[in-house]
Amino acid sequence: MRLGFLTLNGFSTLSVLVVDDCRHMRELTIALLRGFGFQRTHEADCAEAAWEILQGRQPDILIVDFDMPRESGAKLIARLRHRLPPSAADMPILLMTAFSDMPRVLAARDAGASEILAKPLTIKGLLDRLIAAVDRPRPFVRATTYAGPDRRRRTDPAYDGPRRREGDRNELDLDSIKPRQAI
Amino acid sequence: MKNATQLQDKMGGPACALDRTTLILEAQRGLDAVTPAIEAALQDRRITLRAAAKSAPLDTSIVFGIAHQIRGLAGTVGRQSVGALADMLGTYLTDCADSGAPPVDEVVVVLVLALDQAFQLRDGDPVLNETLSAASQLTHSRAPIHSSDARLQPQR
Repeated sequence: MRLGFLTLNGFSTLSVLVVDDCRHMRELTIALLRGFGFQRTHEADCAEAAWEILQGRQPDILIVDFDMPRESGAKLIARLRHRLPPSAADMPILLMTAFSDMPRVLAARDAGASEILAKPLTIKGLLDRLIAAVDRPRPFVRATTYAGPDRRRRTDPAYDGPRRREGDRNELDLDSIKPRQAI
Repeated sequence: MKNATQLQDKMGGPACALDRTTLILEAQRGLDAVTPAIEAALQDRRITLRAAAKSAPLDTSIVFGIAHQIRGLAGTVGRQSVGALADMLGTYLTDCADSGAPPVDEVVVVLVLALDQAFQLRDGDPVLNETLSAASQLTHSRAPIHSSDARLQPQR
């Protein structure tokens, strides 16, 4: 597809890693991704296998299930956000969950997930989140207690707290910012 | 003008410029190709769930694990009612675990039986609609006090 002077290759140039302990869920997800045009798809059946893959190659997008035995998807995300090199740690991560109650959504957000995908997956839902991951990545925040995309999706014009967003400072260092004194 | 993101550079342009209709049709073809295997997997889990519901004492962790898998797979391959009942079963067990209240075996068994029946009926069948309604009422009436809904209420 021609787009101005660029040739839009579609998702075929991007690689994706799907992590889910359920083989059929991996097959289903990869079938949808191949339909979207992804040609380089990788899979892992647990967090540990995913971690090993991530040591060797960096996918462009990671899709991971929340509920997995031994190590949950949220823990895997927190681990890779903190421990992978910066060039790899900021990849878009879609977290799938079959039970999207509020505690899980908050846990996913605080682990550093870019987007949350409620199961059952829908073709449109998955496509929308992939497009968001490519076109609208949020600024990356790196601190001792949190590493991941900016958890605030809105800009509050009346906000008068510490200016910690990437656009506010050239070098983000949240740990150097002291909490405000209680009034 | 906003700079292109790294992934947009790799793709040669923004993802929103792709032809959505074509992508959705191709993905549907991919989904159709794997649907028979997913249906077979769902039937396997149905048999395992039946056996788990008959075990004494009831192993709720096994029941939860199977409900979780059915919930994830069923809706995507057009089995919305099966997915909805698996969701009710999983949510009931999660709420019990979160609140510390032991699940009532009879509630679990009834939900497993309803789920088993849903496999035999098509979505929209009046019997299935009644089953869904009854199962929903049952889980709400037996839900522990500290359910996920209750946690979302503002603190006073």
